[in-house]
Amino acid sequence: MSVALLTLLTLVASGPEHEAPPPAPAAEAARSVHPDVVLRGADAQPVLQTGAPISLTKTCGECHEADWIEAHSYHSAFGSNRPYTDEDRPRPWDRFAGPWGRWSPLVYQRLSEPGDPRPDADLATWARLWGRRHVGGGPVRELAPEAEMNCLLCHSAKPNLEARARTIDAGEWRWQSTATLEGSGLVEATEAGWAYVPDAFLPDGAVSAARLGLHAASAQACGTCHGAAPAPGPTPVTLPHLDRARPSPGLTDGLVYSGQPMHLSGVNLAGKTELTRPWDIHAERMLSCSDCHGALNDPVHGSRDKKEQPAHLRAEVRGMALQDYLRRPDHDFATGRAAPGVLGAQHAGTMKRCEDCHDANQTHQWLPYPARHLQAMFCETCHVPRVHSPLIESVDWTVLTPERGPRTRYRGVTGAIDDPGTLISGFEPVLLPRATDGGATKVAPHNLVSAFYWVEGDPPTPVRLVDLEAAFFWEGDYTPGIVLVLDEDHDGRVGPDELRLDTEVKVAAVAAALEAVGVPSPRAVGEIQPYALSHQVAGHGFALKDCATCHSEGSRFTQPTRLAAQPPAGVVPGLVKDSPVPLAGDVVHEGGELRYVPTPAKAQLYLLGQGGNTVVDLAGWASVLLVLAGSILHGGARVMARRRPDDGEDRS
Amino acid sequence: MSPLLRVGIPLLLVLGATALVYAWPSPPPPPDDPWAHVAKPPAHLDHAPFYTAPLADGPAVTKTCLSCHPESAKEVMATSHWTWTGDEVHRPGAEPLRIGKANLFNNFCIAVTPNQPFCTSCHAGYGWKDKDFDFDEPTNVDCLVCHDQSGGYAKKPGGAGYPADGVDLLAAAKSVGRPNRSNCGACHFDGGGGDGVKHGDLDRTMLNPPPRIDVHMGKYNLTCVDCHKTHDHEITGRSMSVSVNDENRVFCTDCHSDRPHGEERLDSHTDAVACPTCHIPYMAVQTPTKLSWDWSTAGQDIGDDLHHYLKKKGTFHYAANVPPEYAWYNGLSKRHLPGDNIDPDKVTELNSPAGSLADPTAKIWPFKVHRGKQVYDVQNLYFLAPKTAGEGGYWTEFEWDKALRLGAEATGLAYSGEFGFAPTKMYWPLAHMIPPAAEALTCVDCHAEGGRMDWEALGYGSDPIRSGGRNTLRSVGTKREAGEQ
Repeated sequence: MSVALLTLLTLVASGPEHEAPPPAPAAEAARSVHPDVVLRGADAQPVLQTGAPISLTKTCGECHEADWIEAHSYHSAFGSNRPYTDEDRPRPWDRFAGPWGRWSPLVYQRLSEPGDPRPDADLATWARLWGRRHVGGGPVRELAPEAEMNCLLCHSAKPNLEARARTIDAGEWRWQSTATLEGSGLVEATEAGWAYVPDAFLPDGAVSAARLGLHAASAQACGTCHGAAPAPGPTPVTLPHLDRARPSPGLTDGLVYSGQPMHLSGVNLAGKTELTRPWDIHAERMLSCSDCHGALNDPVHGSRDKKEQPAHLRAEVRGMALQDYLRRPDHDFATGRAAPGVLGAQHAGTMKRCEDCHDANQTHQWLPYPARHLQAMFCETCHVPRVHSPLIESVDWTVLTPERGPRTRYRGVTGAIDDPGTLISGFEPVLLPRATDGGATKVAPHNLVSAFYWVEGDPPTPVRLVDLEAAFFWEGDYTPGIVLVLDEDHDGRVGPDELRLDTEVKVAAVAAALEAVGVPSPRAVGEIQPYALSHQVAGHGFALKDCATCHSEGSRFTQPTRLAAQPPAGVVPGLVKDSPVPLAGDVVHEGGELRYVPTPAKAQLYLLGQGGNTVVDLAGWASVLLVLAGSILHGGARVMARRRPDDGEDRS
Repeated sequence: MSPLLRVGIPLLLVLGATALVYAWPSPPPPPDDPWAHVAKPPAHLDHAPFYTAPLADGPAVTKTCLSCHPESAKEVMATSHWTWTGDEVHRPGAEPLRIGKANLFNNFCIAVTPNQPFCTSCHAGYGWKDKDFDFDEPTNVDCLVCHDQSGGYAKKPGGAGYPADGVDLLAAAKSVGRPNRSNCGACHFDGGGGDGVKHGDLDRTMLNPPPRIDVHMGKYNLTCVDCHKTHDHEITGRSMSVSVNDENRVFCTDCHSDRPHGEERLDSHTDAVACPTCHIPYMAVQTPTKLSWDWSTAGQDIGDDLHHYLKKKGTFHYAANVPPEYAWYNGLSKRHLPGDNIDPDKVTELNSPAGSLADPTAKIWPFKVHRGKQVYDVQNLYFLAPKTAGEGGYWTEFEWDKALRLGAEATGLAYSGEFGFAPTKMYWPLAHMIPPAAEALTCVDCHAEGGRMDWEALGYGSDPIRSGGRNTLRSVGTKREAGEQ
């Protein structure tokens, strides 16, 4: 009897009806306090029943106010809720303070306004260009109402970004959330489209939070778009953001956030064996991005927006109740005042600064004149002494490479950035004055990215990519006219080193070619965009400590920085109009290069040991001479008095 | 110029300069100067002139040594290197006992007693082949095994400690000097029957290691006895596998400060974390060490493979460059004794570190944990010591029953005639193979999600980076009470 029963149980347990669901991702084992989730479609019905695309607005919106969250997320709005006025727009063709409507020379194509007589990128093109780095919602809902904010990108363990990008590129925005789950075992791509895998769902039709890997946004989620923030672990760190085709923000501001020591990484660094410091000391010390850039209403950290705080209070500890926060977590994250300071600038100054956590006075008493140093410099000046990942130096759209892209130069590398064999030597930052929250000015490390491009018409707009391509290429090759102008070695082709407009003749020739394809009044212009370098922070062991680094003839405060190796002739770029930091020096042409030559005095700095100050020098010499004269007079008087004949007076 | 000025001005300048030199603040001494604690032994006397005539055997060498060092043999004979037992251990309700390598079981080759001529080839003496060995005879002490500097001295495998055939004893005797790495390594690197088998932090790479394997030896050229300081032949150091008390240990803080990092956050770790925990990120860096040994599969003709299966020994698992396991350790340990009852369905810990989160003297230590499956008496429910090597042993006849009977005769533990195999565990604390400081663990290695520390198992309710250390625990639901033992 018992054997029969056992056999029956075995058969039932191993029958096809009870096959194990597909294996969950590794995150299955992770602890999660999040309840199980019913995946719902736009009609709020379980997608397991309807087969419809997942609507996270409906799914997550059961508990969290998804619409409110989307409306309070500058990652979703992308600046579309902050239009420029005519006075404050940095470029005449910029419309909004964010990637939506603000032109970027790194991406180039311009989102055109309706009715533009010479339109460039339409909304669909913009979505293909930016969609991979846009969380959805906000302005793209104009493209498709279902193009909602995708919570899974930041809050699930392994969002499938490539699958999502494919659906966006195909214009299938409504499936973007569903596609993000490819690889989780919950969905699979079939010839008929996306299909759900019933066995991966719980018996009640819900999905376990562990299978989705739901969690608070991690540094890795931020790193997906902002640079490189690999998960902690023994796997050697690589820099996946080194993609020439899609420049990452990390290529401008050096965001590599990892606690792994550099010498253990998989990056080909110059002097690697000596680089025993972590990529970022804060990552090593277990801080996540949200510890400094957290939600503005996060009750754990209290209110971050000091604008609403009485001046006599240092902190507002009355945070939201936890249940209110979970219902409406503000997705406008705290930001600083660092350049370029565009997206989220309305919250500038809400971020935790170094001094909010560190008492520098306690730890810098070894430093001569510590107060003066801390008054003159942001902490990053010494604690980001060098960026050990490639940074963009210049982007030149006045010429097109055979791949139809700009000529881009990078700092700190000696080869192609996406070649693992390229030696990365790193970059010593440019020090620029920047305003503090309190209104004072300190110097901070920056990268300067110069850009050159053609504009047309009046008011000017960038020449459209399609027109550039027409002017440069004919049936896949450079036009004979372009070859004639640029082919200096007369081998019948334009080599990489020949792709430059370093003479007025070449500039005029390309301008003529643009005019020939219908571009009105083309002229080459340039601009410089500073990017603050606030990551790759070094601990005290690797921070600048040698006085001579700054206080010497070779001070890094005075070292020229190359802005462009072969800029277009006659173009001297200036700072982008809304740059939050000024240049404190001159932009000069030297040896065929464009360089920035800093002058400490322009940053209101006088550096002992570096250069001179006429008034101080004169005062010093005068002091020496006066002391010498006084000594001589005094000594002379004594000698004279001793030699005087005795007047017979008794001095005993 | 007057003579007074001509003399006075230079004199004043000299006096001023002298005062300045004396008044100038001298740099503070370095906060952590390990070299101040490393002995600088005098140059060793060349002993070659003292040995001129051929030496017949080992005892003859020792006899010559003792003619000038009459107390040395007595000193050696008072140490555990000679007795293979430690200090007296007092147990509640039982007679005091001396335990040690001589009378304990392990989960490698199991026990010395039934296999004395074989195991005792690592004894610092000559002739320990059975219970009749004369531990009081000074000429039985083997001076050369520790002092030979010729590199030509070796003991005969299975030879009860006698020199190997063909050893040039005269050359060895002429060469004697301060023990070097190979003297210690001759036994300690080959524990368990091969290079790096037993210890996770001692193998032949330590003879001449690069700094990445051991910074003390590879970069600073230290030898074993620089840390294992020796007085009257009593060598500091203690092996948790054969002793339970905490005397005579070697600590990093014998040379280094206990606040060596120059950073408060890291320094605060030293209250609860032993130095090797961070500074030995991986054990058996280059040479694989044995992590498990299953005797139950021995005896099959399925093809020998040194690192996976041997008919003589069963199934193994070796690994190199592996993270250690971690446990609290206060220097004391618990020890399973021969004859102690076991539950064959549970893992028996033959030794285990004492200490817990609640014990302020305990620190988190890195261990190699060796997992075994070894033979036990099914009726008496205790582990048995088989005779493995030699006549009638398992390695020659592959008969467990016979090997166990011979083993029982040697150990005195009764054997019922019915045997099985039960799981065991042994802890081997790690203290060697310390790479440069830059290779030490960093915060994320332990505190990141999926880090190498099992905080729950260590008694914390959650990662102490969030819930506080043991002195400031602020989380709800910690296992502190459970950890109090």
